[in-house]
Amino acid sequence: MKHIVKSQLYQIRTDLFFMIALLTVAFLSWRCWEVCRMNMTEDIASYHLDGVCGGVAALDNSLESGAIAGLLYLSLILTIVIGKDYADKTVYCDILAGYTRQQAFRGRLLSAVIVGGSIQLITTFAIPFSYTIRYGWGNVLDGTTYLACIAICLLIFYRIIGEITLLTVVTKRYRAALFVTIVIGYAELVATMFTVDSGALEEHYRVWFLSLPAAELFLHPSQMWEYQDNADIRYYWIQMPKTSVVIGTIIISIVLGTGCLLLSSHLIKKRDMD
Amino acid sequence: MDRERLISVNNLTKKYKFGTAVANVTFDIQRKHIYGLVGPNGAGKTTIMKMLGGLVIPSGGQIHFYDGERELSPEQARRQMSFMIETPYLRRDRTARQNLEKLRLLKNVANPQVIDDVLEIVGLSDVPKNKTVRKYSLGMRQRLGIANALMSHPQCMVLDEPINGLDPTGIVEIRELLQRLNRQDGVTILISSHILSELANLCTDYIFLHHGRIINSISGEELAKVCGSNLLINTEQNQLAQQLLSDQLGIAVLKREDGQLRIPDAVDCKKEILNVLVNNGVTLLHMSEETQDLETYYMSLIQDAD
Repeated sequence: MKHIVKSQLYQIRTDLFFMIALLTVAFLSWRCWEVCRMNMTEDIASYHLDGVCGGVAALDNSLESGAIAGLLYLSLILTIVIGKDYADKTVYCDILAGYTRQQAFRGRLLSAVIVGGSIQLITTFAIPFSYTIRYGWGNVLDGTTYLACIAICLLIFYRIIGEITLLTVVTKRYRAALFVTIVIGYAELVATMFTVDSGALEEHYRVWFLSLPAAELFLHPSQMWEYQDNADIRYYWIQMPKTSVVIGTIIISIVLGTGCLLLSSHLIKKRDMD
Repeated sequence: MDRERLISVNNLTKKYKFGTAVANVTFDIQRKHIYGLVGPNGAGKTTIMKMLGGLVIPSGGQIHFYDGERELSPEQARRQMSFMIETPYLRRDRTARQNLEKLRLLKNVANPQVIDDVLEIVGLSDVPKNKTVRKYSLGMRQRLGIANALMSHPQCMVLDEPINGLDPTGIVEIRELLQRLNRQDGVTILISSHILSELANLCTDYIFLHHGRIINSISGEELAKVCGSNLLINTEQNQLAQQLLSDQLGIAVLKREDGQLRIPDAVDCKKEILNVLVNNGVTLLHMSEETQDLETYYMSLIQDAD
């Protein structure tokens, strides 16, 4: 499978459509970051004056658009890497070169996750990392809870990967899968904004297909603050979602993600390539 | 010629919703031979090749691959083979070199120089390096597909209509290339083509398909014996003549579309045939020797099968 991954990484590198789309998404993400950074300046000013804002505060801002950016990167990469080769039949080369269908499928999935994950990690953590270097990790927010939320969010993205992959395999058309994924993802977010109280978001995290609201819930957890002693000093902390939501999210993400990937693999194994 | 079996196909069947594409096909591929898969459109040639390549899952039957006495898994075998089925599977928005580089990495061919080598062999080395495959003619894409097939130095090549779209010079070049690979490197080849004269120049064995079934398998030597030894006769009562020759001489007589009778391998029996016809009062209108080539042999097989 190593050779499939190597050939896929070469193919991604030389894919003009992918590169243009990637630069567009990166530009959009950067714009999102810029908007968040402006908020951050205000936030930092209002944080506890004795605290150090540093990397964790930058991470807080970076994750504000993390779910949307994550969906964009993953849908773009997964649909192109998995879908395009099936559409133009170049995946046949893998089979004819002596690989099994599952190896060809897993190789593509792994390549997409490597590329998508790397881009997502870089775009999410590059600026918080630079803030950490400059100002330290900081203490205005509870970093441990943040990292726990991110770990849970990785499982949500695992579920999203499974769902996008299944969509791509079923439709057999990567552009259609890309379009449907983005439309569904955004529609769910918009629907959540308009129909669900932010306080009640926890109760609705399971019902969405691409689970972006669940990712939002964990990437941007509620921040609580209170005044202490006098009105000049405020303490901030992050409120982890309820334990039942955390456990539910973990179980649903693992079950749905694994189920979708196994079903995709099964469909590819059983399907004739002609 | 070696008689070492490389591939054994037993009762291979492929059924689709619309019908049976391949029905109980059985044949062996011997090492260092060149097999021509001959049949009209829809005969099942491409489906058989796709099943050999693992692209289509058989509905029944088995395919066994061998390396000497050892049986190989399909994946192991395919690593030693190369395929060009239908049109070459290439990214059209990439250049030839980008396509081949991706395939080189996939096939784990260590030497990057191989790309220039195979492009040179198939006559594409002078094409501008930034020209995408989309701008290639059909013939150029076929050449590129053959370049891909050559890259991993295969023991066996499965080629579906490889000379489709090539100009006359290209056809001769590819034929000579395949002959060279077979003679010098011992590469086994299974090839299909609609240009039967080209297959006749190339193949050592033939497998004739019709409606998904094998209607005849014959070696080149056997074909040479059969071809050119037919007797073509026309009488006033062809039906009676057919019956008499069959009953009294025990020879198979085929009726052609134009009503004349074809008697295979009967040039040496002219005297006996004449005697039977004269003794039974059948007036002979015409008798000649038929020089048959692969094309006419194929047509007669198809007529008989229908």
